Amino acid sequence: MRKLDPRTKLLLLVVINVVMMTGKITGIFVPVRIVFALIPFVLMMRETWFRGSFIYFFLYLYVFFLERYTLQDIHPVLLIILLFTTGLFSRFLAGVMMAYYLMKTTTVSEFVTAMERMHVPKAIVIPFAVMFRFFPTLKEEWQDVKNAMKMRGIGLAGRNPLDVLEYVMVPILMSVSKIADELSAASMTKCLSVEGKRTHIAKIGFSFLDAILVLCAAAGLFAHIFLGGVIAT
Amino acid sequence: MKKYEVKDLINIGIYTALHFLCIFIVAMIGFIPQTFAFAGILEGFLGAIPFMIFLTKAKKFGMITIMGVLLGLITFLMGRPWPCLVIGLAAGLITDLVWMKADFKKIKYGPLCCGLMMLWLAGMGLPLFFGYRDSYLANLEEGYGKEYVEVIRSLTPDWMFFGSIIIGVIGGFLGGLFAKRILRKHFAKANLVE
Amino acid sequence: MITFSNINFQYKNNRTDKGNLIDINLTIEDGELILLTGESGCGKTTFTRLINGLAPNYYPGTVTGELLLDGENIIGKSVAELGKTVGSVFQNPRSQFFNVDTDSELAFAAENIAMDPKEILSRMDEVTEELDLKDLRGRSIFELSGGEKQRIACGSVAVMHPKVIVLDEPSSNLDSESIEKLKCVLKKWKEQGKTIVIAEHRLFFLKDLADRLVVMKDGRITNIYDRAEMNDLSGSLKAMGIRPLDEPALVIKRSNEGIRDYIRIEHFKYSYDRKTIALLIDKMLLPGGQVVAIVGQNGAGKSTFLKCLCGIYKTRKDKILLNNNRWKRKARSKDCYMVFQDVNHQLFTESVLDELIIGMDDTLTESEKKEKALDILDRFGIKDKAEDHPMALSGGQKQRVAIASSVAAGRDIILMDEPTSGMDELNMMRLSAELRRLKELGKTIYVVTHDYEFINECCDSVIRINCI
Repeated sequence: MRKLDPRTKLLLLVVINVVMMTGKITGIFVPVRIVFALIPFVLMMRETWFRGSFIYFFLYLYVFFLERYTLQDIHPVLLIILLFTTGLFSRFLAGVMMAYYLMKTTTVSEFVTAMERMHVPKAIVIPFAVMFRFFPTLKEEWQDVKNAMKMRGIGLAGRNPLDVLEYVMVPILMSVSKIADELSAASMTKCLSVEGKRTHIAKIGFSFLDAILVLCAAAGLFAHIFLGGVIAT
Repeated sequence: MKKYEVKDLINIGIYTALHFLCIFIVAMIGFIPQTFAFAGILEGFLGAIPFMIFLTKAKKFGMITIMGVLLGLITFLMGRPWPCLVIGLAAGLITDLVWMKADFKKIKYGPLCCGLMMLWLAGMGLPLFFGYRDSYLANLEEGYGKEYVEVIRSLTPDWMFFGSIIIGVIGGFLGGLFAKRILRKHFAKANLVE
Repeated sequence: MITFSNINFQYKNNRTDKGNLIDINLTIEDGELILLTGESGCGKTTFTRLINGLAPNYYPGTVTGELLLDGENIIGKSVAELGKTVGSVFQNPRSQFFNVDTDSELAFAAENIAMDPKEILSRMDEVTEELDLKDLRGRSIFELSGGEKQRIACGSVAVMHPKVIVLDEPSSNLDSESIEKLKCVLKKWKEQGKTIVIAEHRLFFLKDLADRLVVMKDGRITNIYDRAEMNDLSGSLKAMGIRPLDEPALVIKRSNEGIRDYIRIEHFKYSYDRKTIALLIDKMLLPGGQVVAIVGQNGAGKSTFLKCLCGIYKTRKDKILLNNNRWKRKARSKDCYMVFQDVNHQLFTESVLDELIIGMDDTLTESEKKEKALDILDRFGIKDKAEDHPMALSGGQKQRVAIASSVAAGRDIILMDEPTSGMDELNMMRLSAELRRLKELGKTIYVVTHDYEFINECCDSVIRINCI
């Protein structure tokens, strides 16, 4: 199975977010929204992440209908509470899934290759790539600290929230600072430098599927800007 | 201007990730209109803590600016209008200038820098204001009904945009004070910073 | 050839003399495998850092003397420049990879020096073959075990065809099977004529490979033994505070001495995701009142077992009885205290004293708490550190703080995960003595470990957990 080009994924991420976050929710934008909500679903199915894609599909379906057809004439307070959840999901969900897909299916080196093809300077590329790599590490760190808190029986109850914040943040910050030092040292011994050209073994490039998706994104953006979906005036 | 080293770029990446994550967690709450102001304070407060640690590593001009650019890029990827890129860059640049004034080490300027850095959050809230707002609200009304929109409208007049910036900055400043304490209490005591 | 002549090194930001080097003179021939050892802080890591250039380029300090690599003085040469001839493998698997997948990491260094992609790919295949990495290609680094990560680290170094390879405590987090694999890699490299410098505490796996054993103390080289001399050393090393050259046989004593309670475990099952079962124990009887070692391969679920036992992980439908009474998760988490392998995550207050006080019984007054805490610290020999920040302590001291805080919290069962990884002889012996003393105080200790010397030193029983 041919992999998508990271640039296509980035473009899709932006367009999905634009359409979902700042786009209209009525008229012809109903099908537009549906199409863009379906893109992450299809891509995830293609990776055979069936469980995740079905959860996403039904969750989205649920909030979409709730938002569109059910929440019309009910009490404003209730409406606002409900809208908080449905609105949050209908706006963020597709983008979050797309970001998840992007992170899961793109290796750091493909990502770096794509950025360098777009002529992004190394001073941006390296930090961005490190960021990309660092989210899973942060998750591991957070779990370790959470386990330690649980084990020591230090919970939220009956404590100053600032103290709790301190107990959580200090080990994470200390550990992160150590990882930053060691990662820098290791990368330097692997000849990473700020100047100098690199080569890439990652093969990236546009395929037929890329073309379709780019067209989709372009059409979505077109509708968004020229058919009155855009919010800026 | 001193050249960047690998270590600098890796630090930028790592602390941007941590800073962004702190803010992203709080930003989820910010979708409830009534918590708008509260979330702003909290975002700034939490985000300032890793940023303060980053300040102790930022010894060269431009490191904070790069962080601002990265944050602008993330905001853009999240579907905010393009001016968020400029806002991110500007926030980084301003903070960088102040931190340079502090010789990249005077920690008493730290909370101020934390506050100023939070200006990038303005890019996140952009769709709720100015020209974006009216058509956004008009559109929301078709979908959600008048009451909901009224609540948002009352909470987000254009001056609130500047209000929200100030709230974020205050949150950042307070977070900076808290982080300064952590630096003194933990990092300095454990000989991890000078 | 590497020649150290009159090398002195002093770290810039260091308040103690730890890790500094004094008057180092040594010539390492091409193709030689040098094993560096000595107590923690003796300077062996600094020694490797001078060769790969991290000291003084990355870890600043002042250096005098000459360090010649093939006749050229390399002090002051950049790390990236040296990286073309010197490969480095580090201790911590969490922080030595730039990438998130194995293939990218293998290619990373070669890409950085702009090697031709075709050449990189062919070298990657060659290294995969040589170091037997086939099953690790194309995987996410986050799903690899410690041993697998270390093999990838070796592979990524090998792709550069370095002349010299330095390794800083590469076996710290590995079980015996992974150590065996690491040994194969080193053997291969030695056959290829590479010059290898390893700083290590655990020596046994290198006995057949090392050409010379260099012992350091307080920054100086105190002894150098060649192959023939190494064979007669077994007795005298212990006196120098150095781990044995021969892996001790596991002596199973099976003593029933001190057993008070029994923990009966039935149907203990845990999985991180829905697909793979990380731990499955049908029936098990754990003795209480003893120091019990838990051994088994990496991936057999030993750490998971500890986390389930102390209630960090939720197991479903388990049945755990303490002396025939139901012992629920809530109760377990109140009775057990776990000392993690990376102890840094569980210390979070501003002083050692606070670390103990925070977990104490709330019915005591502040002054009572303080008195009791100081008392415990005294017993652990770290009373003078009471006001210090926990993170300013050495690894062994941090671990003692964690154990002391479990005593302060009045927990009766102490669980430890690989407490001796990366530990020198002296600290290991001290920990053994402490565990024996805790047992006398009526505590039960379950310790997951690969360290046979340590088990022989202090454990009463051994339990083996196998892979499913």
